[in-house]
Amino acid sequence: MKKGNLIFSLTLEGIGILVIVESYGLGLQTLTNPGPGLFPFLLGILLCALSLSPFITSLKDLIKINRIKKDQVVEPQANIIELVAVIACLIGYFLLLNILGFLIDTFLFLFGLFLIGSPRNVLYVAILSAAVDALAYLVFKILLQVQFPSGFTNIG
Amino acid sequence: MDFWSNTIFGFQQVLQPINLLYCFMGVTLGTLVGVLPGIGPVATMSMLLPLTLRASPLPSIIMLAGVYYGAQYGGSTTSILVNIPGEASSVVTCIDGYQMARKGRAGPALGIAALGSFIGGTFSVIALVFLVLPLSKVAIRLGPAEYFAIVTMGLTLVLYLSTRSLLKGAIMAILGLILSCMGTDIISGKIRFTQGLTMFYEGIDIASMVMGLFGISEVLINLEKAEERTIFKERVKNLLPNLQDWKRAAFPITRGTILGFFLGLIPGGGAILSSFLSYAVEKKVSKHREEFGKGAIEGVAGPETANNAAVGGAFIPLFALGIPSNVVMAILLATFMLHGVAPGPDFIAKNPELFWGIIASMYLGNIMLLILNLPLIGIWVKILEIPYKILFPLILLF
Repeated sequence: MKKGNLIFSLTLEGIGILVIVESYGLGLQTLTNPGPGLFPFLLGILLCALSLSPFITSLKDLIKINRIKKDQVVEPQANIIELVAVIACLIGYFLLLNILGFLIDTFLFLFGLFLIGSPRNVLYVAILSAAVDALAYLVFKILLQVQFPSGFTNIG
Repeated sequence: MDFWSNTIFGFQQVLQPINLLYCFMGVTLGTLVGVLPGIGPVATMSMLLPLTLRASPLPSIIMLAGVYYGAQYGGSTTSILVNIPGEASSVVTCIDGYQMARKGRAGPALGIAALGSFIGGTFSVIALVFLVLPLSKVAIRLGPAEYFAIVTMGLTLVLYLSTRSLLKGAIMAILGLILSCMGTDIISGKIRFTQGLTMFYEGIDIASMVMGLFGISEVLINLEKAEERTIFKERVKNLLPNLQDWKRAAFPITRGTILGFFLGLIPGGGAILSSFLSYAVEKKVSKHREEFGKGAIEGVAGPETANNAAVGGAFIPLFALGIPSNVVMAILLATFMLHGVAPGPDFIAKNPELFWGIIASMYLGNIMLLILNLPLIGIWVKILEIPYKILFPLILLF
């Protein structure tokens, strides 16, 4: 968690600096006649200032832990691979939707997600994915008449 | 127009077939997500939000509100039968509800939970009408200074609601304010922080943001948790509590209604706090204190009534002042805004059909829920047997 806190606060510091730089470029003007950059500029400074405290605390803690004994630090790695796989499926679904079209892309998306849940039963997963894909097509496309990308197959 | 003519006007709105359908869909989905541990009303509402864009505001709000109060009903089923709370607000119901089920009294436990929820939910809607109208009349006189104070209060609430770390709460509030600066500056017309992407010219799309923050994140959080369920296998019978049960549950239901309603008004209070407090009160005042933790019906009736009564209370700050008192209300506020409606002091005057339609839908929704949760309890018990590994892809897709 200490490492996570460190990365988190460092990211926030980075965002804060980016906001400060970009808002300065937008123009600050004065407090009585504020420019478009003034409010985000002040917010950027606040973000940097507030993120400094968790950054220093987690850095100190991390150094202390490393000094005591490295192998005592047990990070809870709860289902991290599953989580990464789900996020990858979501990103892949979004990126491939226009290329593959709704039907194929949804099938692959579901196949991937169901496979995460039951990795051994590939045939069952494929049938289940196809059935849910067909149901989703029926509900969204036929009943609700939502327009989906048809992709290279021109179906959808 | 007085209360009765307004209520009849509301029913005229909600009895239109499309509104009835959305109300039914909302309460059914609400019960479903309430029953299923691992997905709550927040995630469901945020995922349904983009779908409401095609509908008009009244059915959209009716459906999303139905999901919220429907989930409070459904949450008790899992607590009583599986000893896993379907909703955070049903955590305390596990204590005595599950013990009642183990003693062969699952039916009366489920029955009193549904009937108490109905009484609490219906009373809170009536109280909501009587409180929101005078409050709106006061709020209509508010000027810029008062609005600034309300916004400041809203930001202060973000800090107040940060349960773990005040500093992290403040950081997130600032990050939120920075994100709200994205898009076209309304004073100068300059484009800020869009990185040349035209889709950000009008700021971040609220539906996508809500879906990502509350919907997908909840699914990912639940994937991290190990899943263990032991479902109560015996047939659920005698759903209607007997006279002795009613005698013991009458005062807890009354106290739960009052307590839940007023705690619902408090920002951050809502259904969870009211159910816990109701349990604590009942344990303190009960003549059967020794039975608490071993299957006391008061321990089910009080909290289950309180968490439903809190729903009506939570709507008051939203309707009268435009302030969401919890995440669910924030999603409803987002839905209103997506449809070009601004809740606040002049909301009722400008949109009487919306306000009275929503109120009428709540009366009707509570009756629908009573039917869904008593005679149809067997269906929900069956659904409980579906593993989360099968459910989460469906949740993400739909």
